Amino acid sequence: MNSNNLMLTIIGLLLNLIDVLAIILPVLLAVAFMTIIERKQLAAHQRRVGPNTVGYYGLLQPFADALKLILKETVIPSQSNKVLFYLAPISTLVFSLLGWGVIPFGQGLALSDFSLGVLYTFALSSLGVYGVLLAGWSANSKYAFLGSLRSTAAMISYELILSSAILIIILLTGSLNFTTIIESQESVYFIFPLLPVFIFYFISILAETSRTPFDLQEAESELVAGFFTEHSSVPFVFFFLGEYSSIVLFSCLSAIFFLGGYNFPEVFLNESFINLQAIVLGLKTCIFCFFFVWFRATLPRLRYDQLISLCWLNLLPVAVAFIILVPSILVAFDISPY
Amino acid sequence: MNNLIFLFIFVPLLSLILLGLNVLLAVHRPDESKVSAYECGFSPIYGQTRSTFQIHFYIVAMLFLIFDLEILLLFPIAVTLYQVSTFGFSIAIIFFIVLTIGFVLEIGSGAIALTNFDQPSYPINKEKKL
Amino acid sequence: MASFAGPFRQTYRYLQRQAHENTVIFYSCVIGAIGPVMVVTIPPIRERFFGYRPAEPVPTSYPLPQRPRRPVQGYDDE
Repeated sequence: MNSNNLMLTIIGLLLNLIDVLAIILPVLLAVAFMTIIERKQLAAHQRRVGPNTVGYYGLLQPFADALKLILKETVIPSQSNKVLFYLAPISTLVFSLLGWGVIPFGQGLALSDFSLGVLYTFALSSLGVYGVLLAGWSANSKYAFLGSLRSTAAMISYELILSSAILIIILLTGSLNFTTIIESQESVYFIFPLLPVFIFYFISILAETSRTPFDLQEAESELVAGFFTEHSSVPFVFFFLGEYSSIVLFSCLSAIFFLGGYNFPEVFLNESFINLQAIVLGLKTCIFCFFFVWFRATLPRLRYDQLISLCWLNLLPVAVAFIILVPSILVAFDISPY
Repeated sequence: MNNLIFLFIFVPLLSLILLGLNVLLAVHRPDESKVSAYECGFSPIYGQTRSTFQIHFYIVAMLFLIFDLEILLLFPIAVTLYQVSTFGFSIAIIFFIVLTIGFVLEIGSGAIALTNFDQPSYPINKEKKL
Repeated sequence: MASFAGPFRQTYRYLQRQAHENTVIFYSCVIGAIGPVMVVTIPPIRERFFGYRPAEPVPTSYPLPQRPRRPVQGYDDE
């Protein structure tokens, strides 16, 4: 009887493990392919070939890179705080991977579809700042320190814009649950009524993941590599993975908030085992991943004071205005969601 | 066990495994120039790290606290807008206007103008000069 | 708008100038001000000219019984 219970517990844990692996392994693969997508697409923008030697069309390049970086020597600077020096990259990776826990990939296909999913995502994306802060402080090098200062100030400023954009989405859906947000977009994707909101939302996620128009902590000509100047080998891989994982995560979130997540007009909706909802979500995510790289290939970098004043003086007033306008429309026309 | 709790255990374990792989597989031969602080060209000058920095970074962080709190305080009304309807909405608007007055003051005082001070980045200051 | 004359000419000129110089702030104020104005004006207009009646409120909890609250008895934590 007792051994029977033990068996059940072990089977339960194995099922949990399979669930978690079914999320984490595709995410890690997606992150790996995001790096190769970025390199190939940048090459295409500049009429180059890009990586094309390892595997077919260079498809195995990210795995070769990862293997190389794992086999490299980890250099720990003698003046650094050793514990924080390791804790910073680990926390970056962990917080950006944990964000995938609440994303629904299809009806009921979430690791945990709980009712405060949006707040959970917020909390994790805010905690991502700690990795940057700790890395800059612990490395005890002036480039890392300045890079982390800049990065932290930029990330927390743009987080305001991000949360006000999502507040507007929440106003229209009346729920903090991801599945409810997706299902309330069955009639119209929110990108159509909320196009201005989408624009400043997208600007803020570019800054939040520190991509090119706003990648001031990595301004190579000024700050070497920013807050991870001193990190090498696996700690560097963690920052790299964390950054690209948050790019894919934010692309996925924009697909959910503005393009209706796994919704698709009727064609792919069926109740059979082979359900293409996850593929629809993946394609929509790819659109935003493409945008990320496109902006990197197109736009020049801002100056730091321009970055801060763009956030506080231009985007924040617009965000505040829309926070007042959208609920006013809902109340005036008596169409608030229940 | 809850799937989410399992995720919270699994992901740190994954990163620890990767670190362990690195410790097992990679060489580790530190020498003096390898472990010294990174510097472009010359040896680092003592006392340049963790020095003072511009106050604006700190001001931005403080302003972030206020505004993020403000937006998070609006989340409950976003969820319950149907129940509280016009009355709750008007209360939220009053709350928001009071905070917006603070925001206007803070912009007008030039607290977030990061540019050098003889070239104010914001037109309000320019008008005073004219 | 050179022919626009009257008591509000100065105000109009000021607004025009602000829209030109502080575009973001000006249009943010405009967008933000439209909201409360809509809340005040639109429901009466809809009611008078379009005959709109607000829908029955959707029940979001169980109805309270129409009687005074009875004291609870028979529990041992008194």
